[in-house]
Amino acid sequence: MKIIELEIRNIRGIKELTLKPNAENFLVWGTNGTGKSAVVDAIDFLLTGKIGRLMGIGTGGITLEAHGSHIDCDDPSQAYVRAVVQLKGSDSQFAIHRCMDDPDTLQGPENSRGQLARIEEIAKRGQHVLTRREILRFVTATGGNRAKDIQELMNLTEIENIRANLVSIRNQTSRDLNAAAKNLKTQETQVALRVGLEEYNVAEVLSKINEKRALLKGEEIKELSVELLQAGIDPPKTQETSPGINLDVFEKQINQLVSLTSQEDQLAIQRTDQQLRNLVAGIHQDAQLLRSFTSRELVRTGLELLDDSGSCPLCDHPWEPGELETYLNKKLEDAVNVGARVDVINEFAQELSTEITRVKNILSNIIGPVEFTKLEERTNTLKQWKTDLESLEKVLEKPLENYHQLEFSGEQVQRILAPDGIEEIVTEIIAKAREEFPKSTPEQTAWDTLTKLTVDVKQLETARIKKEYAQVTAQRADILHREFVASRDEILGELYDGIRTRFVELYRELHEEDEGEFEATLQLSDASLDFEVDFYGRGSHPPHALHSEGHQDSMGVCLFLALSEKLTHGEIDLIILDDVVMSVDKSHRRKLCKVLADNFPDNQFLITTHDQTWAMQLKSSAVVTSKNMYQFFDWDLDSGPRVSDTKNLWDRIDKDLELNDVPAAAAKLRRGSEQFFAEVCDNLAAQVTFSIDGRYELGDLLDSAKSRFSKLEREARKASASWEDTNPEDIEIMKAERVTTYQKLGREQWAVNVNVHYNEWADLEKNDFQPVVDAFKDLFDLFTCPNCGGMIYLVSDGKGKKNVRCHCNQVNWNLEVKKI
Amino acid sequence: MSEDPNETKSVVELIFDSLFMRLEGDDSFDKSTIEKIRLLHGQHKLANKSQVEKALKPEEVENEDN
Repeated sequence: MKIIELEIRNIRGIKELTLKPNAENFLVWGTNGTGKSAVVDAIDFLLTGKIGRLMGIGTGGITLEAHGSHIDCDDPSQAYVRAVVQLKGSDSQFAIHRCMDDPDTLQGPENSRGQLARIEEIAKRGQHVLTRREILRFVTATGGNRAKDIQELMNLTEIENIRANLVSIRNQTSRDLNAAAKNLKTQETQVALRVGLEEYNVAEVLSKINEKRALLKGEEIKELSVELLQAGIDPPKTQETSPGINLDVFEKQINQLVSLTSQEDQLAIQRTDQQLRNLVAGIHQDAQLLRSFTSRELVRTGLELLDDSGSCPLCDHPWEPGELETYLNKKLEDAVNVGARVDVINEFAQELSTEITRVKNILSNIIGPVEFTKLEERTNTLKQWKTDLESLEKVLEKPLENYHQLEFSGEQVQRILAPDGIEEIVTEIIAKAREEFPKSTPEQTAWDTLTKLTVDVKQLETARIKKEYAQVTAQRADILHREFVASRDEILGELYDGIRTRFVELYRELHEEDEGEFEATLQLSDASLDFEVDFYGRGSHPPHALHSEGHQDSMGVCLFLALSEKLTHGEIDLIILDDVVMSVDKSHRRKLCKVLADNFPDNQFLITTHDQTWAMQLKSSAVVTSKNMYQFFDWDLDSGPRVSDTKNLWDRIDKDLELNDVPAAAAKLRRGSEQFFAEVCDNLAAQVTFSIDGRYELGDLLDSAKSRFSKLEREARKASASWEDTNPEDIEIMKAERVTTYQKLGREQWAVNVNVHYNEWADLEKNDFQPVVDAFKDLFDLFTCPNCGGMIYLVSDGKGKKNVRCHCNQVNWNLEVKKI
Repeated sequence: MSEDPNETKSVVELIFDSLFMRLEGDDSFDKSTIEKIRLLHGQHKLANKSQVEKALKPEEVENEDN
């Protein structure tokens, strides 16, 4: 999309302004505070419905609604931007329009809606505007921020959100799998305990089951399944038992509980607990050791990011080369040692957890029957015991983090695993149970056990299936995350490589004289985008480490142009460079003009600058033509910027003369001529009396420009003769034109002199002043190519003058004399 | 304009092309699961945790959940 015409009404500092770049590059220049950036804001608003400068860090309290319109405009319907545009691949032109009363809607013709939506989408990512802020963002940012910013440009925020979600799902499904595995273990323990075993072993469980089935005249089963447990056997014809409670089964479980809390078992647990406690405390006592362990990933990444300078990659603190690396390696070594100790901690924690699961399962089985005995206090004791076990179990999930807490002292843990007075409690419970529950026959006990097992095995089967499903889900989540990251890295790796290659090409072109072998790396590493550049063959370094600010600005522009080219797929031809060459020196600015002209002929650039030299260089390099140069000056609140476009310099002077306003015409001619001849003197390396304040008046510039032109023309004639060029037609024509023009100017010399020396044109009559204007028009033409409109300039190669040429090469005078 | 359709695809589209090619070559993913992920991508719901988790579960579990 290119802009043919741009109309701005009541936006930011502009009351009313119309520019007509006609799909060509255009330049807005002027001193600071003249409203240049308001043009950028207006285009930003037109394309995105937002104004980038009013958003982001440091813009709190600033809103589009309150601060987007001109401060004196109370009616948002009168604040709008309208443009006549031309879309890529189409000759037709149409108007688009966005108004502050409905900033979300870009109005345009229905049949272009799809293409406009695509342009809006790209523009919203900021791919069309480069400011000094963005340059710093690309060049000096940390790898993480650079990746984030560039991913925003590429609209990869969605990708990052998906990646973060997949990490979360991978972790969640992994936790689910652990929980499912733990539940399976619990159910296995439950089945084992039900048949009187401490550990689950399917063969032993089957053996116990078959013993019970044999009592009931059942055949042996070889598979543990709910359907087979009571298959082929009938319930014994026996006595009624209290609601589902078998005294024998109950007593066996009570005995198991006693056994698990026996002194012998407790001593073993106590030892495990103490070892676990010592290990955890040992790590916590050494804060440095714990920090090394918790920050091991950061240390590992830090080591990878260290460069030859040896400085800290995180805070840039200087270290002697190798010193920080040694320090970090020591930290990493400590972390690895701690890691081995953490593995042992986790093993001890698992041992204790297994023990807890056993006791908890038995408690789950017996609390119901104990409640039935109406021993309320005992019931509550058992329930509290189970709750305490569950708390301890939770703590053991993260032993390093939790196991040194005071509420879980060694003594406390002992009490949780085996509360005081267990024997007394169980004695009372059994005595009461014997009163309440009738004695069962062995057959009845066998039947009741098989009945309970039916529930247990069903839960075991469910737990097993759930674990298998959790395993499949976790595996898929892991693969999905892994492949997603691999795909992202593959595609972005190719893209970044393409951007890097283009960036290097452009930068080499810009700095060919001293960095013709320049190289750079742009590499994705996890969530970071590392950018390093070669420093005069002395290794790769971050771009802001050794290069000057001017070089950094060059890099920012080249990187942005490379990104723009790769990311917009040419859908937005308009690229805005908003005051981006602040630190670039004059010679490289001229080269940047060439880079823009040669590499981006199909783009439309809007360039803003406060720098007159850069403005003139853009013109003399034919990046912008005179008619598309808009100089802003004398901004005031009521009328916004005053605009002087060189295109209309002569028109405006003519208009002043029509109104007989010679003072106004004279002021324009003087100002325009000063700008023009300053650039001529610069282009032709003319000698001008030096002024420390950098202000040169027309009198300082005009004679120097004229005499330099004559001298170069003579040198061109001499060179031509040395090559025995018998027909140096263009130089002869040029000489004739120069002579005529100089003569014409000479005739008006009296009038020119009064202005040049005394600034008194304004006192002339119209009839006296018109010939002066005509003479200056011809003089301007002498220094301008009639074909490309660019100003002529001198090319030197360090050894001497080579030629005088224009950008399109239609003007090309050789200055090198043939060596004899 | 380039004739290569990949030249005009967005970076996001290229990443997903690569992802689906990789998943299709992985035995852990059946066609139905890949389709579910593709559908979520089309609906811009791959950043939705519960929807993605649901798509990854074996169908039997999904039916139970329903």
